[in-house]
Amino acid sequence: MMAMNLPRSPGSDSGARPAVHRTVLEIQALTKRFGEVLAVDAIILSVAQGEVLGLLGPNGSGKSTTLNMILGFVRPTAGRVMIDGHDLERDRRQALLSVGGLVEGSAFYPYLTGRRNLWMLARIRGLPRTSVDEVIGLVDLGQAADRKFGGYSTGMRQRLGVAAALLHDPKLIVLDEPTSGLDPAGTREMRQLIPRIAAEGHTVVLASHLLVEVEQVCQRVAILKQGRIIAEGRVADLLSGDGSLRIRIAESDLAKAQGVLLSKPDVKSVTIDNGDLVVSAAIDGSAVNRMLVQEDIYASRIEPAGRSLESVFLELTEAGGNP
Amino acid sequence: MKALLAIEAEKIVRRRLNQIVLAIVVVLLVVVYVLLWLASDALSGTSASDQGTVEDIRSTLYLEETVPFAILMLYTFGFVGGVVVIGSNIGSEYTWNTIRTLTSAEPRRWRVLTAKLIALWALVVVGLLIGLVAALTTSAAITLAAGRFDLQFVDAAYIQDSVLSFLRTLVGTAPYFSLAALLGVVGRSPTAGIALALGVAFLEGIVSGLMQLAGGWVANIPLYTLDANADSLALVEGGVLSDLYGQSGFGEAIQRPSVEHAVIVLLFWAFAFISATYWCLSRQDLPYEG
Repeated sequence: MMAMNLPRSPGSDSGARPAVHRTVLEIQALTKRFGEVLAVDAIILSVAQGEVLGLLGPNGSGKSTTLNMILGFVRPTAGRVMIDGHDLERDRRQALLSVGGLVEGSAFYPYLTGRRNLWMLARIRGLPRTSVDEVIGLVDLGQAADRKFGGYSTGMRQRLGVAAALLHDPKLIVLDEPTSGLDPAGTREMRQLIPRIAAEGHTVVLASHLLVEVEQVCQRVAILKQGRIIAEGRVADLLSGDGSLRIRIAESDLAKAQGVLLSKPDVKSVTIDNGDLVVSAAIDGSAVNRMLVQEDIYASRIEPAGRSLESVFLELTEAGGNP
Repeated sequence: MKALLAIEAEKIVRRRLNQIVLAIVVVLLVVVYVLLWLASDALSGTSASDQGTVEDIRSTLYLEETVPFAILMLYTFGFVGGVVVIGSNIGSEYTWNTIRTLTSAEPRRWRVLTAKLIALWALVVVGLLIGLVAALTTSAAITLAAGRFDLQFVDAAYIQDSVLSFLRTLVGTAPYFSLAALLGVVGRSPTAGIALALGVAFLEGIVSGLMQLAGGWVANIPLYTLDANADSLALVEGGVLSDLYGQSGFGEAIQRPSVEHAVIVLLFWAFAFISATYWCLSRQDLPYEG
């Protein structure tokens, strides 16, 4: 996998990372109502060229409906989707030609081979046969490409779905759980592929339940709950925490260190977490270290007590009440 | 559109179900011919049966008079086969979610549907022609076996009548095929397209019969629905076996519209169902069917 460059459609200009990061996806007050159920509630989002946005949310939060609206499968009740400057409602064809995606599962004819399925799509889009070979190489489908889709494993189906999404070299790529069903090696390759796609100037919107994956691959995340975006920002910012320090010291010194630090007026709180001290203080790490050393306690590591995306996600989505 | 048409044609040709349905229609036609021939042969000359009717049936199987009979058989087997093929090919796009893949590649949904309908219609016409050829071939074999093989009856009038019979078959079945397409789209599954279209075909005959028995203005409603008009075209073929067709369980109670009336009404319904299919697909959400 990843032995080849992304295929290029005629006239494509997305070969190099752009100097100006223009907006490729812009969502304005996007709303979808299924009868009485408000699935997506006036979400606003924009994604720049070359950016990888992670879309997170618990089941039923509106992720898939949002992605389905971006891909034109589901019509919004209200709001607007602009893809590469084209309004999805008014300039539907141009907008949809600029996007490719794999949402909720791949869909191909079971009685045709993977290659034949892709070739059909290539013909509809007016692409050369070589584009099919390129994407098959890109997702490492290998010999399986010439087997009937009906006999594919989940992982192979997923690879073929990603290949179809990349086939026409779209500006915006929407991927829903792209590593679902892949073996560990395939998962790693896919996680390496996505940033590379972005580095070549494509914009990626990625929905995943695997928060580690989002943390690794995405530059920015939006967290949905009950159809609304409850948090959005750069991954680094979300994980940066509140300025607390995590201090690793010998287990025998933990209680003593906690007592020492709690006695200092600049220290607000000291807790023990997984064998580490987590200190909330109005002073920096070197000052805290000095206090400990004065009491003959030596820290092996002092670092910002950053949060994991999982803890941020759970904190936000499990909070009671409506967003 | 050319690429879409080529793709739809390839999908139809490669799909096993379509091949099987066509084979079943052909086999059924041949089996009906052979069974009737054997049965009439066994009954011929016995005292236990109406020899006039037996002789009429035998004549119907001979090449000179077989076209109306073959058309009637196509009306039945071809109709069911056509509904199965159209309902299945359209409904499967939803159960496989390939409608999403197709409309991603070609966002103008009307083009996707147009290519599909043209390809399916072509398949049905070719299938009916193959069925007709199979019936004529079997008839020729029976005629030869009976020592009555002679092609002198084939003239311009015979060919014209045969072509008109075939066209009437197409018009008579068109609304049901269109309905199968509509129900496949609305129901998002092959089952909906096939079962509901066949259900309408069989139940409407009963409902129409009841309406005509009710009398008054209600009795005129079936003149503008499918069953009475389709039967009206089928019965044009005449012949001894046409008595078996279009009875709807109510025999002579059914009032038959004229052929011209039937053609207009059936084409109207076919057009209406197809238009509704385009409208539904254009407005439809296409969520992933799990």
